Formats: sequence, structure tokens, C-alpha cells
Amino acid sequence: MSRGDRRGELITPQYLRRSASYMNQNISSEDINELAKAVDNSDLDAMREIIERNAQEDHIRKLIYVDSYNMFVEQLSEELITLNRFKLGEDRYVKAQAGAYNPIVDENAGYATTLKIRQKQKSSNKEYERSKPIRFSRTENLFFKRNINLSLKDIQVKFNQIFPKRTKSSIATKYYRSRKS
Amino acid sequence: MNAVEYYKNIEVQFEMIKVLSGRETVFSGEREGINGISRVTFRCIKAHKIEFLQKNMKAFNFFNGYNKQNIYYSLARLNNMPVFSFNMDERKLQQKEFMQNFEKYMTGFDYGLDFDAHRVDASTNIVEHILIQNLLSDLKIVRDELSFYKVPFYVKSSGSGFHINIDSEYFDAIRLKNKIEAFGKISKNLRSVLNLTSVCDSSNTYNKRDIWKCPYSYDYKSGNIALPLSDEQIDNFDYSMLEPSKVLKDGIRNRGLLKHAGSSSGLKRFLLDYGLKESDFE
Repeated sequence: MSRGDRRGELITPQYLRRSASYMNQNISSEDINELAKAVDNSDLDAMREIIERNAQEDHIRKLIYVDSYNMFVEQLSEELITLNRFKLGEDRYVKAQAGAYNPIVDENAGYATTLKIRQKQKSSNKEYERSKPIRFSRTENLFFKRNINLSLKDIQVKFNQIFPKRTKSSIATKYYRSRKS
Repeated sequence: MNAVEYYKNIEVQFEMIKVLSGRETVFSGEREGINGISRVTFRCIKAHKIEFLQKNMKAFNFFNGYNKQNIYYSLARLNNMPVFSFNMDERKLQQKEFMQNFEKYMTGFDYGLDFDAHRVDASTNIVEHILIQNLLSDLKIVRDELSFYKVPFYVKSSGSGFHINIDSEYFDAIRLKNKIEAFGKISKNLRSVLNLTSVCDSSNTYNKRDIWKCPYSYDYKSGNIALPLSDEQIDNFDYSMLEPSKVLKDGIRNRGLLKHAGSSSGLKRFLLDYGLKESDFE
């Protein structure tokens, strides 16, 4: 194991979390996104470039001093994947991967802060409600699977007789998605 | 093998009595009389013992001449049902009183889903036959769905179609209110969600006096036995397995209803997913 900084601290998960946390607060959201993308694609060159670009900052340079730079990048990539999943939760992580959910709204806020804001806004934020993916229950999914040959109008009427809480537009979205698949 | 020969088998009578006990038994079909062939239905038969079943079969000419009657049982579970007279005038009076007080005798109500092999168009009176492949496909879909939720149910042939039943006690355990109304809703939703073409519209409404084909009884229209079916039999279904001689050859002693293992909690989850609400339970 290589050493993490001048004080001889080992590169431990705790150390990397702390480093990443500092980075979150000081590097731009575009860079964080790019770094996350690079980590996911295991693109070491891209990761190196982003870290180098941001490592010009004094406090980062002080914090991230490693004997073996490549080893750090490899460890960081693993750690960031774990970190991202840990903070976002598996579902949101998968959605973020697909571009359906962007946890970073405020350049000055880190992941954790952003998520906290999101949690608070969850019940009242209309924008969030609108962007929230439609989740159908197993029985509702079964309904679409078994009735896919019906017209949208028939589906909407039939569906609402059994499951009255869904909006017409959400039924329509699900209908077209089911037909597509 | 005809119905008379089949019903003479004591093991058949034993298996039927297990179901008929604690319910109303009904003989219904057609009979040849002075004015030709006519439809007959004898209700309010108490057949809680072999001797009572035999006595009633004899009294209603089950084994004589041109007599084609099926044996049905009530979905309603009854306690202390009276024994009815064979004197028809007296019987009519007893029946009238019994019908008025029916709910006093009623202790439960089974759920039943009917996969019918033919459908009658109410406006044109045209009978449409449903292909066995479609019947089986619908049956398997419902069977798999009930198995998924671990619902305790059993499947039997009705002669030409199929029946699925769930015993009343499982609904009692989860304290379902207004069973008859709830059953109609569940059947309607099952039909809609799973797009079942062979489940008849009449399944959407239940009546406290509904009757159902008795397991192991002989269906005079098709010549088949209303045999409870195992999963293996459903998967490899062939009408020949319902022939009376084949059924007797395979043995029916203590065969029972071949209930699928399940629990009341599984049943409740199923009911909630298919449109019932928490407020439908006590």
C-alpha cells in the first residue's frame, strides 16, 4: 500500500472519502460529472486529466499527495464507484447512469447536501414530481402485458376501473412503452 | 361407462360426500316424463352422509330410465340445514321457509371461478364454443398467478370447462367483509387484468344460492367426470383423462381435492393487489 500524504497516512477508504468530499466542494459540477463518467467507463486517462486539472488548487495538492499516482487513480476509481452508489442509492445511481436523474443542481453543494435538499423537496417539489419516473405495481404491469392489443382509450377506461389512482398521461406513457418493448 | 355404473362405486360416493357435507346438494338436468323431456332441478337436498345421498338419488330416480342429472353443491356453507320431505307439496313449503331464513343457516361462502367451454350471446342466443387451448391457457395463467401469491386453491374439471375454488375458511381467517360482493369484484378484475376470454361474465356477480358442479360427479352433457386436477394433469391435459373408466382405473380413494398449499396471508396480498382495499377487511 502506498502512502497517501506527507504525514504518512495510508490511502484508506476514509481518506479517499475525505478527499473526494473536498473535491466536491471545490471543483465544478461539470468536472464532477466528467469524473463520474470517466470512473464508470474506467477511463484512467480521463480521470487523470480531470484530477490533474483540479489538483492545481492548493488545498487539493496538499491533501492528495501520493507516492504512486496511478495506484491512487485506480483506488479512487473504485472508491468513487462505491461512494457514488453509497450516496445516491442503487436505484438513483442506475438512473443517473442513464441520464434520467442528475443529483447535482447546485455547484456549491456536495452530493450529500444536494441529496438532502432533494429529500426535503420530494413531497412538495412539483418539478421533482413531474420528473419522477412512473412506477407501476406488478399487477398493473401484468395488466399492460396481457391487454397490450387494446386501444389506448380502451386501456385507459379499463385500467381506471381497476386502478383508479393513475392519470391518463401516465397510463399513456406506460402503454406506449409496453408496446415498444 | 354410464352414470349409473359410475355412481354405484362406493369410493365415488365417499369422495363426493366429503364436499357435499355442510352444504346444500342439488340435482339438476333433464328427465323424460309423460309430456316428453323436461328440465328438472331438485334443490335443498341434505347429503351429509352416504346413506342420505343414496336415499335422495333413489327418490329422485337417479338410476331409472331416461334420467340425466348432474350433481351440484352450494358455494354457501350451511350449518344445521334441515332435512326435507320427499312429499313434494310439503317440500315446497319447507323450501319456501328455508329460502327466507337462508342466511341464518349460512356460515360461509366459497370463491369460485368458472372457465366455461361455451359462451351464449345474450342478444342472439348463439352458443360460441371456446377452444380447449384458450381455456387451458387462461386456466394456467390464473393458476400461476394464484400460486405466485401462495393462495390455497384447487382446480377441477367441470366436464367441458374448468373451475377454480378457494375455501371459505381462508376468507374468514383474513376477516373479509361482504364476501359475495368482494368475490364479484375480484373475478371482474381478474378477467380484466389477465384478459381472460373464457371466464364468463356471470362470474362478475355471485348469489348466495349459487351452485357449483360437485367434484367426482358425472357430467351427463359431456360424459366426463368433474375431476380435481393436479398441476401435472393441467399441463398435460387431455379430455380422455376425465373418462369415468379412466378415473376409476387410476383410483380415487382418498384422492381429495388436490389443494395447492397456501396461506391466508398470501390470499390477502392477492386480494389487495387485485382491487380490494384494507377497508374491505374487518
